[in-house]
Amino acid sequence: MSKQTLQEPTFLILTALAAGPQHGYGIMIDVAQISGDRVRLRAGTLYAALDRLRGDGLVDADREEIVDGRLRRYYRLTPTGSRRLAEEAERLRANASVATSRLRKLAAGFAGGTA
Amino acid sequence: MTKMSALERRYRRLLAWYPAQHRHAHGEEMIGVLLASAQDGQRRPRLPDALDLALGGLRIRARAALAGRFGPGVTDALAVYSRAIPVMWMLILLAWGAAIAWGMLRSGAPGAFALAAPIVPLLLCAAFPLALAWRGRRAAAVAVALLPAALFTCVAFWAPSSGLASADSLFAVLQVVALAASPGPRRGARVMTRWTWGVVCAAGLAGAIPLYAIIFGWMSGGAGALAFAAVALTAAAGLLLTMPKPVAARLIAMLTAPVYLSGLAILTADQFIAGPSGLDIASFAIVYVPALVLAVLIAVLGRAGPRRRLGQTG
Repeated sequence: MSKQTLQEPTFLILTALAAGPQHGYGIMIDVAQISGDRVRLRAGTLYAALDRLRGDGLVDADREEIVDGRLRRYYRLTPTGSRRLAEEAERLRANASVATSRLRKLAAGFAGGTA
Repeated sequence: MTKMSALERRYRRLLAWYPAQHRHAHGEEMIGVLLASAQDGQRRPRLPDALDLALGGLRIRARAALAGRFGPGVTDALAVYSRAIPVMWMLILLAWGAAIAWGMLRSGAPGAFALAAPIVPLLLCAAFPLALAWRGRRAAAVAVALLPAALFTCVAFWAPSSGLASADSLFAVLQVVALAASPGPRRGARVMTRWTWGVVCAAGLAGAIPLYAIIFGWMSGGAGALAFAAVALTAAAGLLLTMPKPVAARLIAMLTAPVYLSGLAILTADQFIAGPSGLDIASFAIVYVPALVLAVLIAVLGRAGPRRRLGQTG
């Protein structure tokens, strides 16, 4: 069944968690790094997204630690979540590959075409 | 570390945007994340961060309120509604057009074309928001669906004896609500099975037959109402069998409104073709008072539903 496409911040959060369980701040740093600092998650957006992802069963709480006297909770990707991420990544890859090959032909046309 | 605690105090105040249950479960970890992402010596939360926290809190409140108050089946039922009902609405309109075309061919009366004129814009009202929502442009879909919903509701208020206008206004209004409040038609498509599609399409077509039979005078009002009720009950049973029960139950409650009211409106319109127009106000009351009763029933049914989240403050 076709699904609604993932928004970019959601996609990046799932990608961050695909490397292994991470806590909130770690996800923020990772997303910034993956996107080349283009997407900078703020705490409100992050936790609203995590709330929805947990509701949809794509993400789950992993473990809790006390660091410097503060609670730190780690999140992990569920099997459903990794499947969803894989589907979305494949969709993006397929679109990108069509775009790239057409642009290549376009560029070749410009280079060797009629003046 | 008084500087840190001043910032921390301000972040804690911002967490008031979040529901109590979320604060208990995630408040401490959110403070940790907020402080970790703050700069050294920062004393106040930055405005974009504060706004982001407020919006995030409101979003979580809205989601929790919807799921907690009406049960988890409601968003799925609305999603099914946003997917299936535009299709059913279009089927009914096409059946209506076919019936008129057949009537025109038989009697050769070109005046009947006026009855068919609204069909194309109505088809667009059903199809266009669905197409937009299917492609992920839910905000645009809601905006597009809002105009006909408002128009039809005005028409239904001012000319209540035009039975179909009442039905279309309800379809249009519920379509807007379904698109705005649910994950959308793709989610609805996932919840529905092929059998559900069978039930929806069969009910749409089978339900249209007694309605048009009454309008064209092939069937008396009473017999038509019985046939209509039989189709509605069969469809309800079919929905319960082909979808998860909480979703099906809420969908039936939501469908009862337009189906019941369109049937009732057709029957009252049938009365007024011969009767005096002063009874328009009475028909208005007949059609819309049950709608209010049904809306209250849906709300009450929802409250009685299971509270899946512990500690939900509602």
